[in-house]
Amino acid sequence: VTPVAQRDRTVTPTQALALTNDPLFVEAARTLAERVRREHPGDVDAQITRAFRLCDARSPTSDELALLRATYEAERASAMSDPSVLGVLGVGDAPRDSAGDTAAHAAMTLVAQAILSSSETLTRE
Amino acid sequence: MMRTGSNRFGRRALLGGSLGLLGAAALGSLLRPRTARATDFTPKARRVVYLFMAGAPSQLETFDYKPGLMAMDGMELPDSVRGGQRLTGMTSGQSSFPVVAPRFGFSQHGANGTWVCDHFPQTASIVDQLTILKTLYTDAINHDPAVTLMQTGSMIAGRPSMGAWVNYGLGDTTRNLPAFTVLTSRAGDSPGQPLSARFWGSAFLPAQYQGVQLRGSGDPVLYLEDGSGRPLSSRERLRDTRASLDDLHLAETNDREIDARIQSFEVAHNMQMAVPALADTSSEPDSTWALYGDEARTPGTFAANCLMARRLLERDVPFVQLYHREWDHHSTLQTDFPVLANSVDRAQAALVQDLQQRGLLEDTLVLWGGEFGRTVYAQGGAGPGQYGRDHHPANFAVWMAGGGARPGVVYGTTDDFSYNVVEHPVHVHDWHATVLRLLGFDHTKLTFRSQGRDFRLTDVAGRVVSELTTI
Repeated sequence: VTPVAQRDRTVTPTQALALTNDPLFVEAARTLAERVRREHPGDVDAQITRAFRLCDARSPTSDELALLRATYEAERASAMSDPSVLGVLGVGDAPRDSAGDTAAHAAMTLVAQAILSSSETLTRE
Repeated sequence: MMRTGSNRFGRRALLGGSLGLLGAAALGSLLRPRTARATDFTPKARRVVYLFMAGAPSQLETFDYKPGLMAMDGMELPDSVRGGQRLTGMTSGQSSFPVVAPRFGFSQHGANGTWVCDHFPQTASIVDQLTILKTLYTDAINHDPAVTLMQTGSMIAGRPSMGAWVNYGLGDTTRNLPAFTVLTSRAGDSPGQPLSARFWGSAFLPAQYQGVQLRGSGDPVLYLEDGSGRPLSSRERLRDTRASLDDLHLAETNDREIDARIQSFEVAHNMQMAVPALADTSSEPDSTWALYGDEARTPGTFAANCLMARRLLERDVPFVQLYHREWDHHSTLQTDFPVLANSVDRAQAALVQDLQQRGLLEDTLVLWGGEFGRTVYAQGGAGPGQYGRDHHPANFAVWMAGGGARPGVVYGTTDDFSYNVVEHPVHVHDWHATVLRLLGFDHTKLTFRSQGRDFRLTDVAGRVVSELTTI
């Protein structure tokens, strides 16, 4: 065993895969999406802003909000034409609130996944 | 010119097409090209596979044949040979240092009549393709600093691994598979000397250059899918959104670790499809199994890792490193060395032959060896059916093949006891300089500035040993 002054930061594709696909993280995003939808019903920008604040302890910039909003709209449109997009709502053991717009929930889940696995969320100390 | 990697159209399309409202700073980082670096010389090798024999196999029982030791078996090693060299704490207290002659046969092979231990029959059969170096020497006498020196050019932890340097030199990390891939194996149930992930770490180099270890059992990589059945369009949207978020953050902070993370997610995305294809060996013809042996069907074996190495190399992964453990034969060399030799011999020869058959050997450099040699004297005395050897840094035997290595060469001479170099000493730094040269790099120019100075794999030393090469 050799002492080192500072550990290397691990940034590997295998870690990225776990953050993207481990059911634990997908489930966390799904329930985060559920929470912000419950807290701000009908106001997508407020939902995104709330999710961002919960993860990064600041509000998104206007660019960030616009980016996430565009993602949300595109994913929601996709979910309405392709039911397989909704599969993400079945990941994990946590019970799902079955009320409401499933396409919107799937879209907000994807937004939450992006925020949860962004470098700022992962490395902010 | 080497390949350029870019899978960033998705992000550009996302930002340019559906938004078009981001600031110039963000776009600046987004559009920064990630192209391969120019090399200093025309490369002889474009890929490396390094078969690392962790624990340090004995040079006396592999390639440094010393028939004269038979007559001296059991006699005291002369002080004049030992020359006051440092010993490990495991044998420095011994009152006697009896020479023990190898108890395995040797035979001559190939056009040059090269002597090879009889426990390596398959390796011996391709000896004309190997470049055997018998006079490599190191500064370290214990495993961890010695492996660290072999891998990073320093005995002290905290420098980048050779694979990371090469990856940094090639400069292109956005691929379908990790550009520096690591596989480990061992011959039996004994734990062997530990391996540490920093042996394939990137230290102060940007983090995207570190090695990625594939698993030896079950799936080689976990979490290739999330089980939701969501379409590719959703996964791509997630990748692109996250990358764009990270790009905005990068533009704000200029933290290069963010860049590493962006690239890690890009490679990860591509791995979701590339790894299942990599791991699926069902389309390998019977000739593959005949060559590598049935052991290659068992994940986690050295043979399976050699086959996986070939599959990685043919997918243009530039640096593949295998670690095979348990070569540390202090007291059980007579019984355990043949087991270790048998666990690598067929597969390592198969890998060289397979690469050649596929036209890959020409520009793939194969490296083989451990972290130091073993003493000619017996550790703890030699019994009738058993003996062992302690660590010996002053000379050890390694080989290279393909990729600009000069085939059929046996280089360097040791004394009658394989205890000192008589002719052509090659330091670990020289070995590194030579490997980098074959990859097209001047080892004095492949530098990275950290903490106020330029670092390199060869520190402030190293000389290219052109006799080992076709340069």
